[in-house]
Amino acid sequence: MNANEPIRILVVEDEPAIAADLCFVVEEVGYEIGGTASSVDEALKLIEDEDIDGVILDANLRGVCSSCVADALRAKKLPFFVLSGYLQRQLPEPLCGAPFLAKPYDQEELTSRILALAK
Amino acid sequence: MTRGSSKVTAGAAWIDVAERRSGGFFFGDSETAAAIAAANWARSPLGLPQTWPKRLRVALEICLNSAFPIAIFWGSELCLLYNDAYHGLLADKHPRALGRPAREVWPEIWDVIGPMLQGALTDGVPTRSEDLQLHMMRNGRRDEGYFTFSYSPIPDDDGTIGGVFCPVVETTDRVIGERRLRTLRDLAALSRAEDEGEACRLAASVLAVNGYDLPFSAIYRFDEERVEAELMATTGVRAGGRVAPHRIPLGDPDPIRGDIWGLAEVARLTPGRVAIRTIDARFGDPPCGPWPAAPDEAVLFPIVLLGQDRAAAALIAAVNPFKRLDAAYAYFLDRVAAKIASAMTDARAYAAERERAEEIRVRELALRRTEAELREAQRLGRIGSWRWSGRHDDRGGASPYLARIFGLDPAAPPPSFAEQKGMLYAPADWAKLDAATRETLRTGEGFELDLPAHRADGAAIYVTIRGEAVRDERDAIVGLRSTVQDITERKQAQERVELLLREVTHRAKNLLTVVRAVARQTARRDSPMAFAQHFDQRIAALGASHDLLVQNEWRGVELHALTRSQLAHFHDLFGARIRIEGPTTVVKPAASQAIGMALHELATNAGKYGALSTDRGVVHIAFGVTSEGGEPHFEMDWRESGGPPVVAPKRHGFGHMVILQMAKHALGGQVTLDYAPTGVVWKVSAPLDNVIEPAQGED
Repeated sequence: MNANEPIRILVVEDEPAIAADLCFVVEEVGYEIGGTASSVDEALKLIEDEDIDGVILDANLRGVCSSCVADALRAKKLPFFVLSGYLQRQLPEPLCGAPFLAKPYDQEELTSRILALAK
Repeated sequence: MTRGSSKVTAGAAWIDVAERRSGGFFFGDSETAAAIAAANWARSPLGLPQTWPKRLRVALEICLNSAFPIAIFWGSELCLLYNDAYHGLLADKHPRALGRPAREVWPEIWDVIGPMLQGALTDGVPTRSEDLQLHMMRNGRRDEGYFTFSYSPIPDDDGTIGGVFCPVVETTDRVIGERRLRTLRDLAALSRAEDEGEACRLAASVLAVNGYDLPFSAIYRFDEERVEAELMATTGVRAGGRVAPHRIPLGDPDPIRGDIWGLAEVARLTPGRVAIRTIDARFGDPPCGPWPAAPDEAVLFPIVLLGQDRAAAALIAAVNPFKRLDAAYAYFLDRVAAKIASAMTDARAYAAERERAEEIRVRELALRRTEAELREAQRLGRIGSWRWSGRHDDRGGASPYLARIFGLDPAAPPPSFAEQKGMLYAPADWAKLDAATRETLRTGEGFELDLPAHRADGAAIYVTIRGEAVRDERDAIVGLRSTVQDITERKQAQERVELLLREVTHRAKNLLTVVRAVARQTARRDSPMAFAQHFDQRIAALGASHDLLVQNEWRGVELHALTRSQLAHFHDLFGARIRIEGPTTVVKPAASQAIGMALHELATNAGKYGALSTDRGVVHIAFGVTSEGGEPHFEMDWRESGGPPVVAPKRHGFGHMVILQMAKHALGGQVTLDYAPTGVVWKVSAPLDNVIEPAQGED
């Protein structure tokens, strides 16, 4: 990773207001938005096409479980954390094994999670 | 009348011959011949034998020499002569009858035989009678008798009719014997009775035909306690009268209502013993039956049923007043009593058999009812039951509902436990069940398992299986009894509730996150005062679109309703300055939220700076599906006009992001916001699938 290039984060979240908030926070910590996706297909396409350094992944996208997105991220060894209103243990593999941030989240915790994606 | 004396001498020559040969008036050496010889004929209408006509003497000689009973009636007085064989008919009338006019010998039957004899004598026509009933006085009483005889005219020496020749045989024993035999035979041929009462009545119907031997009769049955006898049937006498009351209190001394027959004694008699009662004045005027006189005695028989040691009933048989109760008569009555006993025994056995059959039928019915009830209960409870030995290859026995649960053919035997593996249960689940049953067979402890299973058609079901050990009478475990309850519906309902709870939690947290995001974004730009106002409005707008979503059971929101709810502030302007155009369109939950929030922000801006900030501006909202440019897609416009000139804002706040980025993000299409000087224009164009809820009922 080139130190001069900004870190690009993909925001995968189907709820518009939350997605907007996430984008603000990403930009606040000094990272760039590498893209936003509100469905599994969109997310998979962006992961494939875009140059991305980390991902914020909502566990449920328009009623579809996003575990296959997590699979793709694992395969590409891309860091990500899971964001969900479900309990972590209610999630299927591999979502339940990934770093987890519960909704509604705390601003500081969100910030530290986003920063951690670049380490 | 003068013939006799005038003809007497005609046969003198013949008599002389006889005298010569025998040395006297000699008719042989029979007893009767001796009596004739010894009799004093001087006072007889026949006169002295020497004077008897030759023809008479010839006939008499034939008579006396015959071993067959023969009588000769001679002369106008029909004086009686007979032989030794005839003595039996006369009984105690011999020897007084010898030479007497027949009318004097048999005054009691003269009304019958008189005309017959006179006819033969006068007209010379022979008669022939078979089994003629003649009740002669014999040994001091009138005696029922039957006779087969003929009256044949005997010519006198002068050619006229001098007398009547009468060979006779008494058929009394045969006639009565046949009559009694018929009664016994008919009794034996009676069809089987339903009960003892009917047996008695059927027997009585046979006895009624034989009034000669049974002028009247009655059958009484004793009650269990030997307190009372109940009349079952009568013949020849009215039931319920003095002779045959309906009920007789045993041993009661009352002369009228009491035990007039002395049945208490009969109840104690052993088989073969009888009691004899004189029918005296106490019985009033007893019926006579076919006889001209009432019976003067009755024989009482105990009726003992087969296999019992005391009398169950009594037969009262009135005795023929014209017949001596001799051994044959007594035997006959004894047989009658025996036949009644056997008919009652049969009836009782039949009744018992019928009762047993009825009992079995009732038990079977009850069993069938219980089975049906069990079947219905199993159906209602969705429970099937299975009983098996515990061996893997055993099919055991299953209740019909078990087949229903698993979709198996109820007519076929259930699959063996080994066959159930993979068929009804996945191998891992089968192994759990196998382990549980083994444990129960080993320890006797029951088990309960909830397992997923499969119907024969492959459909997934969920069952609760309970099992317990079946033990034999020595308490050894011999198998397993189990119930299988279909809890699929309950399980599904439970899963639905769990899913719903999970979803509700998820949505609530999501909503909290949305609220949080709205708050933070609003706070970024606004002063605390403005924050409170804007935050309130945005949350209220979110709430309004959420209401619509809930009203429609989260299946989407109608776009007209959504638009009106978000522009509720300006509801006075609907139709006039706010025009909404478009077909009824149901949008998806996520899209409804994004569109709703965008409409809220657009309306807020319009009210502050745009078309709705003056009293002339107009907002035109249009939406619909169009196929322009290829694939059908959703389009929506917000077009302001008539307001103050538009100035594009220098910096964009949360509202701008909602109107543009969020809408684009949620709808996945093109969203533009044009700050045209004549009025703000917001345009959305998005793939149909992202926005429109498929119509209900379509797949």
